[in-house]
Amino acid sequence: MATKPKIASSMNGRLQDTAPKVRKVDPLPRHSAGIKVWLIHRIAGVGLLIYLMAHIATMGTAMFLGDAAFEKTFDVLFHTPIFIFFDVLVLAALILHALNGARLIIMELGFWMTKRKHKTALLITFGLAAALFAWLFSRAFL
Amino acid sequence: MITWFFQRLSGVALLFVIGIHIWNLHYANPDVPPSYADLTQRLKTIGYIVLDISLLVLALFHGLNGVRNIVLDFTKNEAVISRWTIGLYVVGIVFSVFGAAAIVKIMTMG
Repeated sequence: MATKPKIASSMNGRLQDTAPKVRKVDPLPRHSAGIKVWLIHRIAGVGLLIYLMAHIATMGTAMFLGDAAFEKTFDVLFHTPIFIFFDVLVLAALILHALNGARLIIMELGFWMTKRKHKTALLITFGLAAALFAWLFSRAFL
Repeated sequence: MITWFFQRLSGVALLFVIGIHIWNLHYANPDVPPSYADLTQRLKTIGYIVLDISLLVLALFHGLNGVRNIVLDFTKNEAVISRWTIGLYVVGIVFSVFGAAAIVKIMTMG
């Protein structure tokens, strides 16, 4: 089994750059659409993690404190403008991160792998995201 | 490699789990805020117990592993990476236990 590429690190305490079989990894070029979408995905992801942890902490505490505290928590969260604004942001970030993540998985499975299809895939993803956001925003916030 | 795979797996699962969660709790009846009575009622059904616990674990794993991926983008130093990994494990376990304890408390109230 001498031909099997060795991925484990061999350079004192540092991971190897890539598996030896991989000749070249194309990075996303600067100023391309792809790098901007990557940035949106990452910022939305970090934002959602911050929201998730605040959400677990708040809801968990409210559940421990019981009836009156629970109702008061929702009273504050649903009637303070800044929290309603955060809800809109969370909705937008969730839709973008979810649909773009689905696009990434589909592309990692090997579909849409030509340059023209990349563009179509992006258009479909963000078109769908805009439609979904418009629908849920008008449903819950207007 | 296995974390790479679980990141995708939890992502696909979260599409459905978060979809159900935010639709049922926040968008199906947007004018009715969730109440304590609804909550205790929901957590008597096995479906919502499974939904809430899988939501907790999957979302925490996906988010904290996402932070680890950011760390991997910035450094190849294995000592730094393992410090972050341990720290993120601690955060994940603390939040999972806290959330699960809250769910169990409502579940077992009677």
